[in-house]
Amino acid sequence: MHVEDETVTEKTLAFEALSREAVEALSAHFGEPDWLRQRRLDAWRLFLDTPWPSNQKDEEWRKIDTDLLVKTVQSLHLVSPDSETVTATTDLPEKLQGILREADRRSALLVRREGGLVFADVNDDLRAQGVIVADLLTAVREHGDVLEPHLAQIVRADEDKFKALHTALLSGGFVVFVPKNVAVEKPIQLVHWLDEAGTLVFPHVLLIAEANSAVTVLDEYLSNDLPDVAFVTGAIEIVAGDNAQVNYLNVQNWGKNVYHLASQRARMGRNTMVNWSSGQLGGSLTRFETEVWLEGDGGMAYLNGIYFPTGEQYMANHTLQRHIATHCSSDLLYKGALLGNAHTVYRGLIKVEKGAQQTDAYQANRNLVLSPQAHADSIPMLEIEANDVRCTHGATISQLDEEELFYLMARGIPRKEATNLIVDGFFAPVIDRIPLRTVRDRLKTVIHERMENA
Amino acid sequence: MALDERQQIELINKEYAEKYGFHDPEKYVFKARKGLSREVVEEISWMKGEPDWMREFRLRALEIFWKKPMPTWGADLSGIDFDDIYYYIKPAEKQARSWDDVPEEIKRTFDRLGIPEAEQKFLAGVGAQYESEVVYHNIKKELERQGVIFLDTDTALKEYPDLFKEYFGTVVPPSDNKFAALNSAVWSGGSFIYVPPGVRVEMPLQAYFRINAQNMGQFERTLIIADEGSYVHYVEGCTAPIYTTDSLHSAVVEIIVKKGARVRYTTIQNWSTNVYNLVTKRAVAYEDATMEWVDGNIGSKVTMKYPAIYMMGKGAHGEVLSIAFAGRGQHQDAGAKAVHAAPYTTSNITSKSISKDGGRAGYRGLVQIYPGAHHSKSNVVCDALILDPESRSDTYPYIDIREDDVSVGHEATVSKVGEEQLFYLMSRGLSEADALNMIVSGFIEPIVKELPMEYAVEMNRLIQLEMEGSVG
Repeated sequence: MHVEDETVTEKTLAFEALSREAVEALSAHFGEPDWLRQRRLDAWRLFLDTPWPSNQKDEEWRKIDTDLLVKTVQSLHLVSPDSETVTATTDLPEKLQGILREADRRSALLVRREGGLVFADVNDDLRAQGVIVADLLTAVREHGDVLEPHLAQIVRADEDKFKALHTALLSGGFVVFVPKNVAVEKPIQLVHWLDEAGTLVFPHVLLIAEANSAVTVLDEYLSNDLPDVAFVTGAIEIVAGDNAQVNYLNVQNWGKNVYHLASQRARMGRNTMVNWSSGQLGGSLTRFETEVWLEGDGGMAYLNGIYFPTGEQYMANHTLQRHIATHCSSDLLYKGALLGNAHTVYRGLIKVEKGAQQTDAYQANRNLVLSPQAHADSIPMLEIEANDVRCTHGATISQLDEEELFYLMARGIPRKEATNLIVDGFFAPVIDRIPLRTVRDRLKTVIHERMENA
Repeated sequence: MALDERQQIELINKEYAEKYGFHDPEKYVFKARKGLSREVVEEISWMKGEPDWMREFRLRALEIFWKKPMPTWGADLSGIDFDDIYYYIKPAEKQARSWDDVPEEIKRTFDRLGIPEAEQKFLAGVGAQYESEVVYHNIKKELERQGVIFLDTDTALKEYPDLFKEYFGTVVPPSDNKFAALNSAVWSGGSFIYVPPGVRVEMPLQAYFRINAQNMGQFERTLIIADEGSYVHYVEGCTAPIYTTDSLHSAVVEIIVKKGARVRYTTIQNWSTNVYNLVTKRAVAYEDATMEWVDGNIGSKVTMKYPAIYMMGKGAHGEVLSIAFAGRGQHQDAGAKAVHAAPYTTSNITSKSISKDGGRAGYRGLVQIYPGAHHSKSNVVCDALILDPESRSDTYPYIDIREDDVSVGHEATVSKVGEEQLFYLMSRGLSEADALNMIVSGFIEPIVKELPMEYAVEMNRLIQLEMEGSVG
């Protein structure tokens, strides 16, 4: 056997990345309870039985290079399931240092690197309140009863092949559990860091907010530019009980060469409020499905989205506002600006099911195309099966307005600065809806950087 | 060969029908077999005495039809049995010239449509298609004098073979979609219009056509060429009596609008509610040309129809006005498509839909802006009214932009009839039914007012009929 071959064997953990052996080895490695092992194996069975999505046949995948996705997934190896714990924050990557300095603004910080937890700092009062903030696969062993009803049950393996693969090869993640009647005052911060190229990563976040609870979670996905492709297939599951108030903020700022398919869903109870903010900035190819299911009467969901690709980036956002119960409202605003050869796809659906009377749903997607080579697709959709509703959606794709530029320049503002002002103004309505100042500032900084380099 | 009893009886009946012409209450000279095969297509072409290129075209299209899968999006088409359809029926009646020659049955049908005979005669150039072939065609002398050609498509192929060949199949090729391929293979009838440069046809040209035999599909093919600077308005309206089994209507309409010309194409579709109405309508508009589709969908079981405008020349303009009404058991998957392939092109799409009694009405649209189509503008507005909790409304507007210097907008609203609007009208003495009627009429008014007068009247009457019994 060649030496080269041995290296490969070692890297692939002695089995092929996409195999039943890999599923079983992972489960054994984490010492998982039977129920999770069974979920993985069932998902593996579904993975084998489900065809890959095709942009020729599947409407939802029509605007993405599915051949590239499939080829990439099949060519990479699994991320190693462990990482060495870091004790001093200075040992963490440069890109995280700014975040780490914000310690007084949060109640917990967890950092994962590749497959494993590397840093955890959880305030004692959270523990006292019965809040769990932990590494997912550690929590599976310690709090199995809390996780079992929800883990891989909200985003399900039987929905498509990538979701099946995610469940089968789940490589870790975070769990946040807030018990009944508990309000967590300061945000909980979760960071996914990646620096190994050529890997398949399957991160998962499970957020359970029980009845009458309140919590704010900031979930970030970060890396440096990678020399080769890393493929992230992630899932976010949110369970928000009756009267719960959940702010969930998701910032994706991967470096180059990261592909990220994300399936994210919140299921909501009676009079529940979910405010979901999403910033998509980095990565080479990202596709985020974000769904809110309003299952209890009187629920309210806000969805705030920002995307700003440049260069050769591809970013897709698929959203669903699913109204199942009565007297619910949902309000979605996704805004994106495009530079370079970027391609964005927004595909959003308001679905009002039979009997979901008194629904008030709104959906707006605005695109600002700043480069002649950039390409924006927008598909805002409505499917309404109840009559006593008010559903409105709107989509626009436009470029910088020369008249607005002229107005500012006539007042002595140079063209570049005037352009920046207009772009700031374009994003302001959605940035204002984001509940954390740190995130608002961070997004503004990235927007400014993008405009400077344009 | 062992034949069971039923097959034997069928065979005997068939022989009787062929030998003696009875057991055949429908008056046909020729009735194609049910189902589709190369032989059927060759027979259609032979019956019509077509040139070789058209036979080849049909056969090529048939191969494409077989190869293409059924669409998996849109409406449920699983009820279509392609083997249970007659693909061509030629009526016994010959081309009629005067009103007296028009068969009584057809006149009766016109009466039931509520259009008086006098008005029928008055309307210029009525081409009435009965059983897959035009039997009544009266082109006003005025049109002939202007050099306008208005014929049924089969005759046009015979009389103007070169003009026909130049444009036929250039806007909607058979490979476009499965049903365009089907139409290309078995097409029959439809209208052919050529308007010479600079000619304005002042009165709308119209053709009524109908489905009249069980399990008989209609595959008409319309080709309109508006030469530079000309204008024509074509009106197509159709109604059909109710049958017990499903019918298929799969038409293709191709329109070429040359530089500076303007074409308006108005359709009121009121097929009976067992008809699958799957139609490909497309226009290409060149420099400074204007194409307008006014599209009303009231009837049919399933309609899938998305009138398209390809703006190929600088400054071209496209307009689509669409109304869909979906009642019990109906699915109206209507929409529009605007493709901006040249700079300074503009398009406007307005869609209104009403669903009631469990009906499902939808808008499915595409606005596409190609690289180089700078300074293009497109605006789409969709409004939907849902009248009861069982009904459904869908909106699927696709927007695909490959150019930065453009402006595209889409807006849609779905709502119910406002309690306050109803209260306002009822407090002024209107009954609830009348108030509802008035609100619905007002809702579709922006489109109805674009229809020719007699159609506007008919449209309002149709909506009123459909609205009957919707209160209480």
